Amino acid sequence: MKKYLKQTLAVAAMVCSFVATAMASSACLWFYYQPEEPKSLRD
Amino acid sequence: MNSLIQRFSKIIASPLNYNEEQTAVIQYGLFAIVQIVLIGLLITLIGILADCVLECWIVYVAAGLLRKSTGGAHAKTANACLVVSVIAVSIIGMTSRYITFLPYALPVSIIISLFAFTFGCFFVFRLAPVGHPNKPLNKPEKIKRLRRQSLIILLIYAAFAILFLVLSHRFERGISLLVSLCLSVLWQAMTLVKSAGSSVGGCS
Repeated sequence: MKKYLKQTLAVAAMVCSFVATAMASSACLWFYYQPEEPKSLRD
Repeated sequence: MNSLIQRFSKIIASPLNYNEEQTAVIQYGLFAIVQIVLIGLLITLIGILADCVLECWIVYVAAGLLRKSTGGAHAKTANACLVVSVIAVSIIGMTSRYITFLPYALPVSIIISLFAFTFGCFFVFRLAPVGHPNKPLNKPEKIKRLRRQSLIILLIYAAFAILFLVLSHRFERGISLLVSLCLSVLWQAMTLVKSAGSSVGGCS
């Protein structure tokens, strides 16, 4: 069970990182709020 | 909403032994996902109640995609963003849907669409892209790329607008889809104007 939990969290982390990277190339995140961009995503 | 997302990102990152920067990236991505899904759900609900789901989704997708390359005014808080976005998308969606019930709906809709699209394009040509202190646009190459991207998106929207106009002869809803697309371009373009910052309770 614990093994599956870790795998699920890893998949969630991967999806979130993918979305964050995809959003980094645009002018803003999505609609009317822009949280501070992580340093590693800045260009 | 911010603190909830912060908590969730820590729940994801801590068992994986991620460092602070990796957690921040997860939080950023999670924030985008939650915002996209939450606004989508709320406008779908309002759309079902007001019988304008298609129009609301056209406004949501069209303004959202254009906004990704043009930037614009932002709210100070995530909750203010949610409220402003849902209200604006719903109002534009409903307006587009119910405008077709007016007498002389076709010529009125075409005039409104032409006006909205032309003014929208004008503001995008003049002002896009607009940065934000939390995501400044410093590199000239990036500014050039985003500007080119905005123009390509507008060209695609123009093709869709023509398609909706052609479809309106056979498909009753085509005209309201045309109006919703054009009004979403105008709405997004208006957020590029400096003073628009105050209208969303935040800064530009």
